[in-house]
Amino acid sequence: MPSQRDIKGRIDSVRNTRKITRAMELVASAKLRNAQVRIEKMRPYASNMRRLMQQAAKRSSGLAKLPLLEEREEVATAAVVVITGDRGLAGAFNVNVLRRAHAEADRLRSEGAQNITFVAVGKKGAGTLTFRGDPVDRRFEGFSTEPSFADAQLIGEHVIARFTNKEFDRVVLVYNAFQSLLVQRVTAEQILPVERKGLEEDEGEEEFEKGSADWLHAKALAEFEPSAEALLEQLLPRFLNTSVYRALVESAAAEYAARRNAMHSATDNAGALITDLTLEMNRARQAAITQEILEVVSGANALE
Amino acid sequence: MGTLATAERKRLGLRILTPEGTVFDGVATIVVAPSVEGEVGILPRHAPLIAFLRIGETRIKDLEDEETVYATSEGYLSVEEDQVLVLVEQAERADQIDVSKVQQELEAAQQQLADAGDDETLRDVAEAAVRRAENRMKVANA
Repeated sequence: MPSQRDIKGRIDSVRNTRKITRAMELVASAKLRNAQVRIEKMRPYASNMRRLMQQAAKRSSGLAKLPLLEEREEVATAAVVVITGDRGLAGAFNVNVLRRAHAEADRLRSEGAQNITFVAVGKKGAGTLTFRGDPVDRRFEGFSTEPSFADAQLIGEHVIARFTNKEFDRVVLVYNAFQSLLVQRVTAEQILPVERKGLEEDEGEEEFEKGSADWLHAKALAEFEPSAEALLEQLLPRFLNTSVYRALVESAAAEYAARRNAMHSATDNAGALITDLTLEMNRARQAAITQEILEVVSGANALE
Repeated sequence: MGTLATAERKRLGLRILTPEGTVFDGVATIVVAPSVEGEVGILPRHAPLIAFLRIGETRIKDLEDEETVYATSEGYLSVEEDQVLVLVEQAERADQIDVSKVQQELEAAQQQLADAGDDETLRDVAEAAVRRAENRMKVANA
């Protein structure tokens, strides 16, 4: 049986751990709020960007020729861009997204991709992938919790360059989407070639009867200073960067939410552990007292 | 009715949006933006238009004829039924630019450019960052 002093030492150590996990929980929830604000701030830009692109797509004739829309028959190399955190202590946050990334790699392989390579965003992902011996094309680190648009551009431009040089034939982005304070949804989406259905999504709503006044209005909607095709060609990379940025800010919020939950349970567990240990210590103390009484009594009996 | 119509004609709904937040959301009477084919001036009742913007300054005048200048980076401008939308990667009000901070960013970007070496992606992004920082500096000092 452990002595009172041993148990006391353990209680103190658990108490210190609880202090740390509680502090981390508080920090994570404060930063989570900022991360959520960042998601909100990005929304108007992203939705207007999409609308502008749909307008341009509707009016351009040569969709097929745009390099970023090119669907290649042979997929020699497919890349999986996986967004993880730079730090751990966030529950299953990093594990989940990496597991999904491997599942996506398997799916791409079964669809005929000959090579799979990873682009790691975040230290944790880079570390795990390298450890497992997976090919890592490039790693981006140091901004997992506070991504700026410039960070997203760096990633976006990198995959675009690889894609146009035909080093990548398909690019899939895997990240933790922020769904609610308690739920992070691991999401995979194809970012290259840019999927056409994204360009045409709203078409149904805006379809007017041919020849009607509305239809003519929609057709004459805007004069493009450059042509609609040129606009679309310029918009596509920026749209891609915006998608990457959205994934980064969502992942940052999801990371904080995951860390907050993980630290919350850690704090709860520490509390439960302290209760158990205190009980055990009281028992030990009681036992020690009983022992002493017995010794005194038997000592006195022996003298009689 | 007549006065209302004239009043409405004199204003433009303007929004300046960046990925990192909405910079301006309100009304203006004139918007002058740096398009790739020269400056475009937008007045109320302008025909629908979509234009590319290059790095430069975007000037707007509010209802009191007060001019505000923004340092804006590459992006787009669209006009539709007196609603002007400026979608740019970065936008900052000239009188709110912190010159010493921009100086730091400029130096960091130049450093990044110097360190980029053969990495084309990194160089492109760093070059763009240098251009943007220089523009903000120029607009702030104008």
